[in-house]
Amino acid sequence: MIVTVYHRGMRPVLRSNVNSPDGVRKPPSDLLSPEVLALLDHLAEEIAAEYLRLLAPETGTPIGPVQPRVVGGER
Amino acid sequence: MTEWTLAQVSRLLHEPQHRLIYLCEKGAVVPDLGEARGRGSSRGFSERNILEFALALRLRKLELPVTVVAAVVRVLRRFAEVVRKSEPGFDIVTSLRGPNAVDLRILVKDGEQLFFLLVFRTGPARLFGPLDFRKFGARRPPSVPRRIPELSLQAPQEGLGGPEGSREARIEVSVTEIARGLRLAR
Repeated sequence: MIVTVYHRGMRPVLRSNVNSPDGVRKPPSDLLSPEVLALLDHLAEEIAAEYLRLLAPETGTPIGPVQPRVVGGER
Repeated sequence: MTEWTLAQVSRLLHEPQHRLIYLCEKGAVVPDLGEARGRGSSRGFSERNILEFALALRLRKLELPVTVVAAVVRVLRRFAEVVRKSEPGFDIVTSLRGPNAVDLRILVKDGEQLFFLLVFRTGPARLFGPLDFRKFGARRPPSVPRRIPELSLQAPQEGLGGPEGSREARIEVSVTEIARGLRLAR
């Protein structure tokens, strides 16, 4: 939507839909639903927990070939 | 925390400002040091934001939808927040640029599923996922289980293979290498 703002004695000003006529910027789009955001946060927390566990100095993980292990996910 | 302006980030990443603004408007990248509030105001970005921009732009160049980009950045951001709760000095950019950094990778299986892979120098890699990103933009997204079930990892019988078991196509992006490639000096 394009809004035209007229000021007395001045040229009209075109405003795009990025900003509302009062100059307040629109909030970012909600691309992801709350359910998806919760899932993403949960996944991030799992990654962080594994990261912290494996980087702990007492872990002593053996040096060897990389063998992936699936930790979690949506079926 | 060092603050970067939009113009500085644009110069650093060799990307036009409108592409960075687009990612902000879509909510994929949230400025750490100030969101624009209207005409004449400006956004302030952290070095973490710069990593997010660099990653987001790389994923966009690979033709991934902006919803997927936003999801990846969201996971990265939440990951850093959780780690920082346990390790208050943790900074994701500094950590990934370090000599013994974990290699954090993004995997896309057959253009449909998103995975995260942690590769440690001295231990086994860890695979997280999948997330079916075809559901991300659905008008009515399906209910998502709160507890993510553990999957069994089977050796791929055919196809491209890889830890995520891609059959026909796979995308792999190293967040660690993107972080290392940033020229953060001004």
